[in-house]
Amino acid sequence: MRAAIIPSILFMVACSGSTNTRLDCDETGKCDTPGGTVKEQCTNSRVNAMDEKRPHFTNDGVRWSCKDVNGVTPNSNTSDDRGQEYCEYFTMLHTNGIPEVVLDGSGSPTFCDDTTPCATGTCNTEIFSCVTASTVNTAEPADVLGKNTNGETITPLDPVLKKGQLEWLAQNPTSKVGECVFTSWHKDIDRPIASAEKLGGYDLNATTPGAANKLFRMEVQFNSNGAAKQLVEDCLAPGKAEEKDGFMRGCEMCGDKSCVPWRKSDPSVCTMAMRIAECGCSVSVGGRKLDISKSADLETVRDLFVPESRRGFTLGTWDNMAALPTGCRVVKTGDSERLEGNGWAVTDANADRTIVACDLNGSHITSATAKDPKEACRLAYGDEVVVHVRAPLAEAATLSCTSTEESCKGAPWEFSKLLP
Amino acid sequence: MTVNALRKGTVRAGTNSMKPSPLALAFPLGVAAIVAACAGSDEPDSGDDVVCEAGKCDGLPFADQLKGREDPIAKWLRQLHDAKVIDDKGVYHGSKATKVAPEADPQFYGKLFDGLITIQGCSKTSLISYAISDDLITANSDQIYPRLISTVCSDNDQVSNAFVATLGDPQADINVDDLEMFAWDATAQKYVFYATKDIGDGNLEIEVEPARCTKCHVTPLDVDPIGMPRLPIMNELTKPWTHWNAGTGGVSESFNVPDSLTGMPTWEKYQASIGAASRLEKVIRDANALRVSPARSKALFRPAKLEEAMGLIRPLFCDEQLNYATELATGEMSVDAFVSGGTKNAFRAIQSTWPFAWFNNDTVSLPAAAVDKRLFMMPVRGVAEITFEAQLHAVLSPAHVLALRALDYKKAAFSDLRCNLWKTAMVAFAAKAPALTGRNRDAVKVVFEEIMKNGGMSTRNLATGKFVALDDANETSIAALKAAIAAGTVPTTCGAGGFCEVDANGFGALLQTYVDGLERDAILAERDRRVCKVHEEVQPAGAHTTHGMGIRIPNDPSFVRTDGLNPSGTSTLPASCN
Repeated sequence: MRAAIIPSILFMVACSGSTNTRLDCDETGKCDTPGGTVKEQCTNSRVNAMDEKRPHFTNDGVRWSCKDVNGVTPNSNTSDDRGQEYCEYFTMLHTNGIPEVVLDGSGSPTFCDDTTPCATGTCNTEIFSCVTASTVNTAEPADVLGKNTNGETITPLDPVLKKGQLEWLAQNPTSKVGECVFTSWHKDIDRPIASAEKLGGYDLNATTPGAANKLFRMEVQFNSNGAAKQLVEDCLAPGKAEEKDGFMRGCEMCGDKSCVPWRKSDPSVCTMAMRIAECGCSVSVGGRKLDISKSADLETVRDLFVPESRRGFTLGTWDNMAALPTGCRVVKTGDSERLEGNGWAVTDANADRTIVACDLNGSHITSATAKDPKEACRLAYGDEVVVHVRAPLAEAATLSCTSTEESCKGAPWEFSKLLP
Repeated sequence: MTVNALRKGTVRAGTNSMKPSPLALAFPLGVAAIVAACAGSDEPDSGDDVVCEAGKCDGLPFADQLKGREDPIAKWLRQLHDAKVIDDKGVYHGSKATKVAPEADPQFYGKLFDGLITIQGCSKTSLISYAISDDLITANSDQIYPRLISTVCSDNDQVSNAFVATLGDPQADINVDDLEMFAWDATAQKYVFYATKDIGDGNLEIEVEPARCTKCHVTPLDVDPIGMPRLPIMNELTKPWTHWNAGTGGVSESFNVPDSLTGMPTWEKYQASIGAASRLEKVIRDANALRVSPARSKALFRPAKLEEAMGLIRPLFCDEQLNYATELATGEMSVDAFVSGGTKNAFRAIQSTWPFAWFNNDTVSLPAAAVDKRLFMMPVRGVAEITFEAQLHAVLSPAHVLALRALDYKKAAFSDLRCNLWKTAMVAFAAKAPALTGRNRDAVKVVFEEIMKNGGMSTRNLATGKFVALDDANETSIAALKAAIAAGTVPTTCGAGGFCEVDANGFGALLQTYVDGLERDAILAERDRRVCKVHEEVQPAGAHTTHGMGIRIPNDPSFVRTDGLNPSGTSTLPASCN
């Protein structure tokens, strides 16, 4: 039996010579986002979305981790596609504050002990080597690495660490050297942050160094409230009945819409909306059934799923929307827990969970990640920080479906109801 | 400190002098030195003022067993001994523990957690238990039974300081008196192991550093554990965390608990707060990255010593520790199953971006297959050695690492070719040791060259980033490769011979071709080969000889697959394993 390795084939199809229909493949044949036909892209994204161990589709809504799908990678030091999933991430590193092991002319650590003092620095007697300091200096704002400034253009990934600094980090694995920042703050939400909190030496309303965009807000065009709303609207329609796999049906429909099929997020949201339509579900607010043929009601439905009064989607973990992986914390924006829309209002204890900072420690920066600490963030936290898109809370609206099909009972988008 | 002490490579705590400069010393060492070091090379010198070594504590007064230990379990046990709750023979008397907090909890287990939390200044709510359920203890796939593994201080980076495990001997309620546990001693820079055993009447026998722990927490039985620290182990480390409770956010794979435990007071007490296995994965990764690997790497700065250098370089050659990966229903499988773990790190150390799908992807998507055709519990290279290997990049080069990974690269784990290079060098160096100077970080480079030379492998063009790749090692291909190396006729493109000289880019392309061509039957056969290697009975090597004959991986996991509903499972151990 021939086992096709799907991502590889996608790369080959998309990147090989004259068959290259992709604009993002460089001369080495490297494509930085997955390609292929819509069906191939959906087959790829299905791997994540229909992961039976961590299904995207729950009774409460849909969810996915910040880690991008296979094939979404940096292209160069200043171009990067990572951060596709309504969750952008970057690194804040106190590059200049990281001490060094002092190296001699041959590149070896300079020896010292009680009777052999250091000409430069002090002696670390655990490794009998001279070091420039024993703690990381965080007095100056951190370097911002891999932050989107305009589309896939980013601040440089490579902090250009010195060999002596890498040696020091290896010996000081628990020293905090910066932050891994995950943000779901939608690109088109302009409300300034009221909180006076700082992160990495930056105010939460700060602009990205060397750029004009907001540092802690997402920047990729479709990581916006408007794009998510459009997705819900576009996908509020039944899929092609001949496709029996619910996810593939939603994803392939997504391929015709304002939706990127290879992402985890877009086809998942699209599938949820499609199932609502397929089951003849309607949304009622304050006892009134909304008529989505009317623009005002349609706008209310869009806002119930992706409220503009929420700065971005809630960031949590797989097991708890109100939790984070060890080493991470919510950076509070001070946003109100009270969410309001047209005719509805709800209190959401998880409304202010759109910026998350995770410790970046010495152990995370090895020779493998020294040129791209953002990759360390992806590897250490990317699969555990989870974006939650929720169905309208019961306090705000009710969902009722006319279909009597078994798969339409409860939450029609739930994982088991999508299986062929 | 004397030169003799320097030759032993030991530095006592509180002594900060290494004169004369080790950079000026040379240490040709013979078999005697290697053998001497095998008897606990990660232990401090013996003497009145030092701690007892693993396996040599029992029989000592309990206070002496704990002497010099600064890990949180030792500190708490010392308090109990001072309070006469534990006597001089190491017996914990439940009847004398009524005033030990929490007073409302009569079990040692609950008191232990409270003590560890208090000693470390952590939150009372920071206990998280994780559950694994399999037939490991019963060896009977019809008798699946859970074990609990617990951590405290779970909300901060002290979480990897202590691990407590129940043993899983099936009883009406879960037994929390027979325990195995270990804790990090920041002074000694190692994990210290303990065990408790119910001896009746509410009393427990406390063991400090039981010898049996060393059997499982270091290298496979047939690999000399010289210089090897003892490791925390979570065999099924990655998603789907087979046999572990995946937590409320996930769906567990082959995890079920006997109905008979429902309503049992101890089980109910602790199962209510069971955490997702993914959280324990991070704790275990951190234990390696923050504790074990940095401590081990400090040896790189010590005076050159052959046995230490051999211990430091071993993870490049031999699989010191394994993890086990399982394919999902979607066909998703870890790339590490096919491309040796650590390979990506070496590539990344050269440059951040490469055009290869195996490099850019975390997983390989296999065509979905029936459950009995999926890769289940496939041995892959372990997180401990991959984490430590990255530390060697500063000493060797990424090309050195790739030169090893490229040999027999279709065997991502358990390559006899790679490991035998190290094993035969151990024997050869016992007769004629290479001359070493400076520190171990200098010695490692020399030892690498000598191991390769001893095995007939080439390092000729490593300085220019070129090395030899061999797809599949067998008697014929190894002989042909050695002959080509000796004759200087290694081709620059890989043909029918299966070997050639490549640079990183060329090796990346070979790996891509291999991954693209994977076939289900072949990878199932490779999985079975590795599982059989785990179970193969082997001659113990080095300090392992004290454990006698046994299977290669003494801490072999359960290979039973359950559907999560039925109380019994199906063994996936290949019938072909001897």
